Amino acid sequence: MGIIKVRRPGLMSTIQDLGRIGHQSSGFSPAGVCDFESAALANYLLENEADCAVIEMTMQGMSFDVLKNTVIATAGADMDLFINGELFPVGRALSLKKGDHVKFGVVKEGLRTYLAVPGGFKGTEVLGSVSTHVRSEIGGFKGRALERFDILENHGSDVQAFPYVIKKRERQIIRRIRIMEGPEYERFSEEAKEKLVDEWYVIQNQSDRMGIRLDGEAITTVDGSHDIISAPTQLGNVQVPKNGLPIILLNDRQSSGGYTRIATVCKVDLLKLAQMKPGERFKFEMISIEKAQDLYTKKMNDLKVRQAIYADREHRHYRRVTAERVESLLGGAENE
Amino acid sequence: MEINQYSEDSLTLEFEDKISPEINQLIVNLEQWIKDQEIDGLIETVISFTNLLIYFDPMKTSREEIIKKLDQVDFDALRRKDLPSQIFEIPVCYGGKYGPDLDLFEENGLSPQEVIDLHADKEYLVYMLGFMPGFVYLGGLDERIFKDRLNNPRTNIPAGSVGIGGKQTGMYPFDSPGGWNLLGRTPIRLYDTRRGEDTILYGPGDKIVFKSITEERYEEILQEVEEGTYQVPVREGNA
Repeated sequence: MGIIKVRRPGLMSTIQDLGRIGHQSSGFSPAGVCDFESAALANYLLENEADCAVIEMTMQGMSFDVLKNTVIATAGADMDLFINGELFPVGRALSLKKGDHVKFGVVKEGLRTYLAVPGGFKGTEVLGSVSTHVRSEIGGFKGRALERFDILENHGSDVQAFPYVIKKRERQIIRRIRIMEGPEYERFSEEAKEKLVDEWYVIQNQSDRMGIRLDGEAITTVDGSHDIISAPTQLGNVQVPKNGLPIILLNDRQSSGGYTRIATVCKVDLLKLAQMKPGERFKFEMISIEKAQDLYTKKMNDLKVRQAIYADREHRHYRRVTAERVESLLGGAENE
Repeated sequence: MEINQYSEDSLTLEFEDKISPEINQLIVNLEQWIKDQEIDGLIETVISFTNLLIYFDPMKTSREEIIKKLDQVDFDALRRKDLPSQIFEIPVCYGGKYGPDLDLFEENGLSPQEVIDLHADKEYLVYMLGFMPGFVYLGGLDERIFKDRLNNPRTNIPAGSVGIGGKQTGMYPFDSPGGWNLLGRTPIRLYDTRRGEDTILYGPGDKIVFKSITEERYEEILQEVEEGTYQVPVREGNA
């Protein structure tokens, strides 16, 4: 039995888990959620495992009809979230009734919002993952982004919302994206290396789940060649093709590539990049691999102990209070 | 070989910066050796022409532990060790509607039949896969049939197409845009999830031989593939 029926799919809504791990040697792109922290938090709100499949919504959220009594949770970019026309915040679990209409708006802050359901969404499993890879049309829902009238199913049957809330992160204007030296770092000129960390780079409109294209100062290698013998790509590689404008490779990247890689974005800052919109600008900052590794293990430990989640006693009644208010408006005037 | 670290969760083993069967043999053997160690926290290994990438979980193991393991490797032995390669026979219907560019080799002074003779029945080494699932980078193409990519790439090349792009020959596992000269098409599904773990049949170190088939046989195999009864011929072979 289905859990939701899509009315409007939004700009780019796909089913993703933590990615198709272990098959890059066969040419598979790993795919998977771009912001693994937000996706894990959405799952934790429902006491799901971190790798349960969620829907990743981009820029403009989706709307859907609820097909059975259930519970949903959201995390990531802030979007308006309406249930039957009433506004609710992102970052909580919410109980839903069969027949409810849920509608997400345009992102207000950030870029990607994650929607989790009990047990995770069902999808076409390919080599151990249901992550959608749109370019090769595999995984997820028929290998594509969600469309109107798609009916999705899930694995769990919980209907009760746990009283968990994601702590509000301090609103920060991101100006620094930390990188480590890449495999071809030494092939670039001293001038290029300086430009890379001194100049502003702006995220271009053509950016997607494959890569973030940057506009700014072009950087070149000493000998002018930007080719390499095809080598495996890595998440966060800062690839510099012939035109000198860097591309940061994301989850849907091809498994191998033939362009010079001047740097790699550290994993904790990939979380920031996953939430940055076209038009936003930043500077790169070079850090050591040891520092990057420390940041990453700290992040993973925080996530494991659910450091960003707390229990909210008020929350349990979140919907009931609203429902009571509606009832009172509809005729319980004597309560006023 | 150099060991470098470019991300929090991986080590890159970099070999000589050239494409050669000897390096491929060493990398494939080394990957197998690493897998045999059953290192706790090892996530994935990825092979390319000159690199072996080792992904690990930094919460479970470390760069130092993996390097310590690698210190035990007997590289000379791995260089000499035969590859555990399999040879896959891929049936191909050359020419006609499936291979519209066969005639272009007139520029190379070759008739369509001569091109087929130079392309089929040869063992091509699978150096690596990339670009899309199941897309092989093959070595061993006869230089007489090297051919630059088309000036105007096609917007859609059907899955199963076999072609030549520059010094490379290969196959398209999915419908895709592309600029390769198309020689023919295979009726088998290069990507088939019905095969489970063998969704992609071959890996680095394996070999591929193209077998010329008639259009009639093409249709038969297509039918058998549809029904799930066709087995791609495969035999064990050593480097």
